[in-house]
Amino acid sequence: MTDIVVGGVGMHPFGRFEGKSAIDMGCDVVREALADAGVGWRDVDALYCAHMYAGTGAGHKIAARLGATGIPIVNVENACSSGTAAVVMARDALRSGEYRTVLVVGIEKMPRGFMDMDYFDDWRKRVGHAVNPAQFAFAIRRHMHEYGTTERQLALVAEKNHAHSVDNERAMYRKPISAAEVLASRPVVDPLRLLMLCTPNEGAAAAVLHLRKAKAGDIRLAGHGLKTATRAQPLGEHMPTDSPIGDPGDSVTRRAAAQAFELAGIGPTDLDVVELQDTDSGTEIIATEEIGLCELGAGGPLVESGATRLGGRIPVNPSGGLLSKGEPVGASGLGQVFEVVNQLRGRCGSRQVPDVRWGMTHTLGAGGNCCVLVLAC
Amino acid sequence: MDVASTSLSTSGIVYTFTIVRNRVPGYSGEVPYAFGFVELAEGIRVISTLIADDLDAIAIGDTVDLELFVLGTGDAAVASYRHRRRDARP
Repeated sequence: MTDIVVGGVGMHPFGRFEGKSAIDMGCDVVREALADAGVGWRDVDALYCAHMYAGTGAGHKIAARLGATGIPIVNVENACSSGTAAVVMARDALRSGEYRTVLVVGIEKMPRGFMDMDYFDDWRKRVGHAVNPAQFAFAIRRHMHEYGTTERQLALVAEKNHAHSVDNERAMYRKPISAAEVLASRPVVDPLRLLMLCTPNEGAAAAVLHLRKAKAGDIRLAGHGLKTATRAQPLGEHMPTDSPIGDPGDSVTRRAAAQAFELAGIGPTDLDVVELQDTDSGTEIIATEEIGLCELGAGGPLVESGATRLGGRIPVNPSGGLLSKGEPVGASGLGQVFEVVNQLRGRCGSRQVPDVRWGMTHTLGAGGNCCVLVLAC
Repeated sequence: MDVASTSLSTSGIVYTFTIVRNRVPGYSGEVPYAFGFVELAEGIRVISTLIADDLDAIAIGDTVDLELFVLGTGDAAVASYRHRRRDARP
């Protein structure tokens, strides 16, 4: 039986890099990931390039710089789950038997401030309904109403993730921030405050995937789930403008995680580390529940207990998460893969989780895309 | 599946909402403003702008009533709907 092996990873710091293009950053991380995997550009049989803002043929432009070898190149846009959706496409391509080595790269260079959401109809933009962090606010406001989740618990998510990032040289923000500072920051989309929201920014990350029998020490892609929200799910990053009242069914995160767990042959209690979509503090609390790290409604008490801190029962976002790194949407999922792969290899220094055998990444984006990966060593 | 048009209630209940305090790309109205999901008796929730004398007083469960309005003028005008918070509680 062959495995999908993650041979190497690369990551450009996430932040603001004037004078450097998304293509420049993409070339950097491709070289880093290839060197990490110990293979050359000419060993790559296919390339998937994830991005939302990089224009026409971004992957082709990266390949032209590195050498136009004539391989298949596909550019992938899947909102916040672009990078990890591209990993699933690479996995499927390898499983087809046609390729032995596939490269996945995610790149992004985003303007400051709220994203310009062309996902919505033009009239909704004009009347003010096209505001993606508002959708996060809708979900967590309802969660607070139903489960008693508190503002302080939301602030603790940000405090935790910023504490994790202080030694991560690839994160945008590396200063510790207290829960009190988070609660004192200005409200942006109530109940979410400025320091409870991630920053759209710039960056790139890449991974080299092989089809081969895993050797000792290899990192395997052991499970994956790529799903979209159903109409019954009333709230979330599918950004519905209307929804039926009734049984909401399983959320998209729950369904994607269920598939990934089943393929990997494990359950939530087997996980040692998780990188998940903390576009905002509320989404982290809800995602910890839906992945199964705690019961539904218990995500607030979970962060309050310290279980998701480094040193806790199940560290969540040891990289500092999107709250610390920022979210260059095409690259963010592969940034999670970079962290989890390095956690599995024991290369994370002061933020290393001990004895990691199973790690998970989770991305969630406009349209209701959710992609969950289980990585193992 | 057959699809047919149906009339919806002109009143509803606030299911969830936010108050937006930043400028938003493409939006020409006043900031801050509130919008959220309004539940209607026909079994559907719809996104709508929420109007209230005091935005900070809006709460889940509030009763709201439909209004039609036009935002902007001339070529920039757009017709839309919103829900106003019913201040006199039953």
